[in-house]
Amino acid sequence: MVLFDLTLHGAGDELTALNRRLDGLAAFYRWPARAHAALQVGLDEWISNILEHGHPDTSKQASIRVVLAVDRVAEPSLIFARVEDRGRSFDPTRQCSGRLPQPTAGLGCGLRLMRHLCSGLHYQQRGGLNQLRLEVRT
Amino acid sequence: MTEEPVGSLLLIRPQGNINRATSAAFEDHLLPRVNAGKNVIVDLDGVATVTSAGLRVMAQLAETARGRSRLMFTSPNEMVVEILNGTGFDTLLDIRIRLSDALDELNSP
Repeated sequence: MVLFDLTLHGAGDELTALNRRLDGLAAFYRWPARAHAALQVGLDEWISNILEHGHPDTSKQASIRVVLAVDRVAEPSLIFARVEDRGRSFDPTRQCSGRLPQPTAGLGCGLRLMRHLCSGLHYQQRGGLNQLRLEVRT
Repeated sequence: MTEEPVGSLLLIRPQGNINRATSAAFEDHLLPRVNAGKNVIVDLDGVATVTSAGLRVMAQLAETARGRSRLMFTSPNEMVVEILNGTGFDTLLDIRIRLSDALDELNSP
């Protein structure tokens, strides 16, 4: 079941609006606080990464599709988000994991946070379309 | 975000998420106060999450405060503690679990 399907273009208030939608869904479905927070942080980090590194040419508007869904039959305890864009390819699952040797927010900190908080990350690139599936268990 | 003077220090209470969308406003509010040498407690009780953008600002503010004033973060929730510990930022920031501990420490002569 799709909970929302929206397209972002990089405007500052879009992430705030996205977080508000997540807040509303979390309250309605009574998601645990950790799952709710993991979704917010994971999506914020990945969308920020796309905007900063995947679309370095700011004269061209980014187009990022975010689909949030649950499969109530196969895996009702799993919430997953699919994020699609056509920017520069980057596979976050190939980056190193674990605690940072030194705390440096600019060097992979966001990716490590995603990996730490999310139950699963699956990336693929086909025909110029980057797809990241980000999973959080409730 | 609210702010109240407590004795000689400032108690600042951000709300919601400190992330890409909000970290600039957070920095804009804090930086002049830290630059002016004010002792500041940031009460994180109302903060749900912090992303790497927020961590970056918090670390920069801590660096600015070093040798000039005290900047203390208090009352992080479980998720924020997990984020701080998992990224190692717990070693960069001056953190107290309870607001009362921070107030006692900074208000003591």
